Amino acid sequence: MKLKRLKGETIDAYVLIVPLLVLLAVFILYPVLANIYVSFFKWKGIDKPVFIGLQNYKTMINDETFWVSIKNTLVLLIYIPLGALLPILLSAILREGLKGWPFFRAVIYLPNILGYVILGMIFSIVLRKIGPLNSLLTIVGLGSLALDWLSKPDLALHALGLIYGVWLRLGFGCIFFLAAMSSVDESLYDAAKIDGALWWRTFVSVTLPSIRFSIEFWIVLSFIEILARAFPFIYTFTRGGPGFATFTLEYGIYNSGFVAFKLGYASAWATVLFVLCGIIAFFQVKLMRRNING
Amino acid sequence: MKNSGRLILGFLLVCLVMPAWTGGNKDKSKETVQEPKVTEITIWDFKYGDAAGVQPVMKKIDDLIMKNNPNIKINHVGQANDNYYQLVTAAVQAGNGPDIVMFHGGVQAYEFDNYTLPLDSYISSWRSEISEFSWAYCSENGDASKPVHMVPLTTQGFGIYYNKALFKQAGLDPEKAPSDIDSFMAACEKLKSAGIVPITAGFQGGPFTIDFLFRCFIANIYGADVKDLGTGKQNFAGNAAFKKASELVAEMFEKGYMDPAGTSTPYFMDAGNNFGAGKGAMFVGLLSDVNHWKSFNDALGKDNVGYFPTINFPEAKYKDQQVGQPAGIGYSIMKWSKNPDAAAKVIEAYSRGEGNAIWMGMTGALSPNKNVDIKSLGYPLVAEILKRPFVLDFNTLLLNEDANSNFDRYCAQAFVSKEISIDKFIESCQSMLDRKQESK
Repeated sequence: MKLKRLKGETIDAYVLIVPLLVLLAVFILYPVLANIYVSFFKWKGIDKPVFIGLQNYKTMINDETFWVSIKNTLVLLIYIPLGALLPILLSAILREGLKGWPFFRAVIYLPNILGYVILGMIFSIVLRKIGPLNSLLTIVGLGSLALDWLSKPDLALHALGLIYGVWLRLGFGCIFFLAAMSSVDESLYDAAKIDGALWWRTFVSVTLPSIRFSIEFWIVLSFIEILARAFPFIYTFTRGGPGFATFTLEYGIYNSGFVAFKLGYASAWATVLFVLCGIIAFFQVKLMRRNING
Repeated sequence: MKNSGRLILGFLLVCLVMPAWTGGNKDKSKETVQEPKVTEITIWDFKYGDAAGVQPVMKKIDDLIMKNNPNIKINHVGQANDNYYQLVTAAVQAGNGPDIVMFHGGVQAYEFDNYTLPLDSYISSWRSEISEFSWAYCSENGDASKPVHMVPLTTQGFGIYYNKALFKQAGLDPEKAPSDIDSFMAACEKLKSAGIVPITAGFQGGPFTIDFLFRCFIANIYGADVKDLGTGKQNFAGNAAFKKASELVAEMFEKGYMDPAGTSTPYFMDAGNNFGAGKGAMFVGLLSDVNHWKSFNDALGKDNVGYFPTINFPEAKYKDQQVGQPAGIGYSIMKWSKNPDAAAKVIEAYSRGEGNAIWMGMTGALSPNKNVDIKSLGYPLVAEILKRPFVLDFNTLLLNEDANSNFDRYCAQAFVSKEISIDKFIESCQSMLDRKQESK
């Protein structure tokens, strides 16, 4: 009787999750498998695909642009620690009840209201050689810092890292970490105060360990943002240039697929991106399990 | 209650029957008065979106076609330029879409040869109005022996415009265009000394000023043999003249002859507008569509704009060689069109006669149609440009991704950001030719 009821409950559970499983299969699993499948074909998006085995992967490995895109993507990943540290620090300051902080919070969050496409266009204008940023620097007497940001390869890549990897995510980061900090037991702060801990000691010994799970989650999220969601910003900001200076793995997929119309080749690039994201997701799951298990 | 229920039921029945009855009457009236069947032709193009410039011209031509062909209704749809070919590809995948599609001439059109109609039977009566050079370019895969798949609307080309007033201001002879590299560099130096930007340029988003200058140089270097860059018989690597051309472009940057604000200026349309506003003395421009003879003549005055097709230098054999594309843009009829005859009438009206004259006269686009009266346009400069025979633009021989992306990236690397050497630039350019050979 008990077994029968258990079976009934199991069936009910499956019935309840079937719609979600179907959606996942159609919109996640199928595209991923189809992408891997297409990567073994030569296909323009029209005409019949021609099976070419591993040729797309061989071409990709010998393609200088592929390695440039990997290098650029790795350089952007360097900005992840700064992209985590700044919103944590700001949140910690705001949490103290800075005067007028709701205003600052609104200002900091503002970039999130605008889309990546709009922000990319705005920064492509702001950072022009004869543009608002350089004019401002010149006015305040910092003319030596007025650089040709978007036509020097290193400057353009690091400007992308700072804007996309750090500044753009500051607003959401603050909200995210403020929420995390609000759940920290106040008695810990009281105890630190009684022990005479200064702000920095409290931040390092109380705040950071208490929000460790949120920080780890944020870092994983940042990896995904840089690896797989930066395209619209880069497209309007630099179009992957100057030259190939801001040409990332994701931009390469677009270029191969929708400029060159080599969809099989683009799929090979996309498979590499999928594997990279998969590795990060694997570590994310491990981290989450470690946190759950204590 | 019962009665009111019957009343409502009766009313509903009357409502149901009335439309059928009136509809039936309509059908009968149709039998007696035969209205002409109107065929709707849908056109997709990437020019129609230019609401201020091209769209009013195309509307005028569409109206003319519809007036002359009352049974044709044109539904002209302007599609986004940036993802135009993605949209056309999606339509092809779906096997359904517009009757007529605009293509860029060359490889971008050839990609869709299997999905566009052969047009030979439709153009046979007026084929002679357009040169076989253009028809060959619009044939399947650019092969003159194969059927024509696109009717050309424009020819395109590249050359250098100069502002005569600014030349005069710098102490140069405004009626004398620089005839070789020495006189060109000397003119640049004089202009620079006079506080005038020698070459108005646009590099932001794509260094088109350099790209287009190379197209002029390559015509100069290879002449009619330029087509052999697509067969492997001619190369960039090991060619002393190509190396010299690269060094000359680098020298123009080093000496500050290229607009210092060029890195902040998009070529389309800011750089062109800057030249039109008299902010620089020379401009590497187009012959058709935009940034061309008409826009500069209108902005600076018809007597104030000079033109030379390229910069001659000793290593380049073909002096004053004009570079061009036999078909800049054109229209094809998709195989799925249910009304190919009507569609053929529409594209014919765009390519010849009154429609073509409106197109060229109002936009400044150069028509490949030999019957267009150039003089009637009232711009002497265009006649001067067209008197020279064209050789093929090398860019049309490349693969899609090299023609539309990689060449510009190499130019940016070598001359704007200077992250690669001239030798590496030549190696990269050669790799584009090699990829073309490998693709065969």
